Amino acid sequence: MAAAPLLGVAALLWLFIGADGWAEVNPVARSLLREGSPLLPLVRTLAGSAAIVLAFAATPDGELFSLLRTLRVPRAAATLVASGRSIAVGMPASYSRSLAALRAQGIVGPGAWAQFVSIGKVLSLTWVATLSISFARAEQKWVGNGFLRGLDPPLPAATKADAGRAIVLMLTGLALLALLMGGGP
Amino acid sequence: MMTFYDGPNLSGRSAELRRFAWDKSGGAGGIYVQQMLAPNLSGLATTVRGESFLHGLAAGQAGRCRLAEAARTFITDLPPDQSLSSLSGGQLAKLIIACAIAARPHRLAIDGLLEYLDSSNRRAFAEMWHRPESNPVQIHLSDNYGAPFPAEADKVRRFSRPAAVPDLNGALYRLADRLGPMRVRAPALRLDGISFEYSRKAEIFRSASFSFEPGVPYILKAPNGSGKSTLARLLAGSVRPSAGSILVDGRPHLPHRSNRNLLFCSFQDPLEQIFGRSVAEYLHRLEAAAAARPTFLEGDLDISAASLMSGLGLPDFAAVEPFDLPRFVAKRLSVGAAVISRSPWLFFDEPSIGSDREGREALTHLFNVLTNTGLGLILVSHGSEFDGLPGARPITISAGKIIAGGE
Repeated sequence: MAAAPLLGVAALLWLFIGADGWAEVNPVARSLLREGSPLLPLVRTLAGSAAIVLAFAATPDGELFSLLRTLRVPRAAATLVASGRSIAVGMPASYSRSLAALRAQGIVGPGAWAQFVSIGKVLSLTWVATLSISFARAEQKWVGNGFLRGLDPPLPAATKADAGRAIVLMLTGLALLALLMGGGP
Repeated sequence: MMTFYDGPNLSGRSAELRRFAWDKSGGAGGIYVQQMLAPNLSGLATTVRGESFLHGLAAGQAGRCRLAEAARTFITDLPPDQSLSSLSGGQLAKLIIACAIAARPHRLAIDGLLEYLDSSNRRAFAEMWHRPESNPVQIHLSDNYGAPFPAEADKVRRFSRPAAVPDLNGALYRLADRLGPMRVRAPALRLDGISFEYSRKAEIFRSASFSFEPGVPYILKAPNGSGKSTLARLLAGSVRPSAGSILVDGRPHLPHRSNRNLLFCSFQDPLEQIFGRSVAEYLHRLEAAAAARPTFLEGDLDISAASLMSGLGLPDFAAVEPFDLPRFVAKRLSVGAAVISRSPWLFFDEPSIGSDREGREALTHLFNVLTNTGLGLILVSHGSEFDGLPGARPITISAGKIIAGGE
């Protein structure tokens, strides 16, 4: 599972938060855990952010939009987040294709330095080839075909476990961050 | 109920298909899918499985119907975990069509997308439309290759090009006439024991050897995923071989390390190739880049970017952004750009997609002229439109080797 290392880190963070006993044997740790120490809010922020990121990572491809809609996230926001994730995941492949296309037309020379100085051109082609039509200029699917209007299915049985895990992770992360902002324990 | 739209490029078929699909008076639920592949995708998924899920096509999804089941059968050969960006044009077109069918629209308009499919998949699609469960769906489609759809259709609507529309095919003939007397010399190319793999499990070439001579049009026909695009990438220097060498006029050449101009590649999807904010900017930047690098080409085709634009019949589109170009025009631009590339070898990946019969004939004529000038040509095709080129030599890729003969 690709998210296993992240889950491991999150688990360690939780262990660290819960292991108050360590402070008894380690004065340094005790000072770090004393009231008013900046460590706990930092750890809580990291754990909360990690849980939310994990929630996104744990959601199977294509199901984030449905998941967010299940969580009553507004349609526009759900579209934005799901598209953003899709673009982020697909960006390396798109960038690589753009680089190959420019190299094949002699616009980018050989070697890493030539690729570095041509990064603007590569990003420009990446925008034309992928982002502009996959997200910004897709009147066809959003307006004409009404694709989004038909995209509120109940989550199918096969993916309830995935969705459940993502929901728990996301709520945990949000709760931790809310505690932080509210100055909770 | 199937209606076939018969007519040439720029005759208004696309606008009519959109009107049919999106006509609200006929009730909601119309879908239009077009030849530009990416805009048909949801943009919310990155794999076959994800896109299938969004359209109710994934295994185990509730609410399936017999039509959705037929659509699922249509894409059983696509690995669920394969990323959309790594699918070939034909595979992506199949997925898009299956997703559109699974949405159970009342009206479905397919604008040229079936041209990506090979003959067996085109037949499979036509057969799917004869099943009883397909009856409630009205399908209107355009397809420049035609068969077998006009014969299968219940109705054929005929279109003709308005007089005010630029004649891009005529322009191509005139461009070919200008190129006709020109002569250049391209070097011979040899792949000697080339091996290449994207990963241990994805070996593309294994000790492949083949000699390419200029002045001969090579027609490359090979199954999807066999390495056609990788061959272009190797020759252009986008990737490096893991073993073997590339010889240019008998001397070793390292495309991945050299800036010397050896090959121009025209991609299957023109939007993967055309950059810049307008057609004019693209051609001028391409011309400047070609002038700035050394080339293996001896002699020169005396065509500037400005004259190419008029030569291709594109002045009306000079200021248009690439992604706003009609597909047919974008494809024509991506092919025509090769003329100002100063590359001795030209690699065209399915150049006839989107062109009507007249357009394919005009392209065939242009390729014949380019061959006669002395350039080297490799044409990727799934059809037979270029088989009649004088001196055409069919080649294919099989089991990691490049071999003479058809697919």
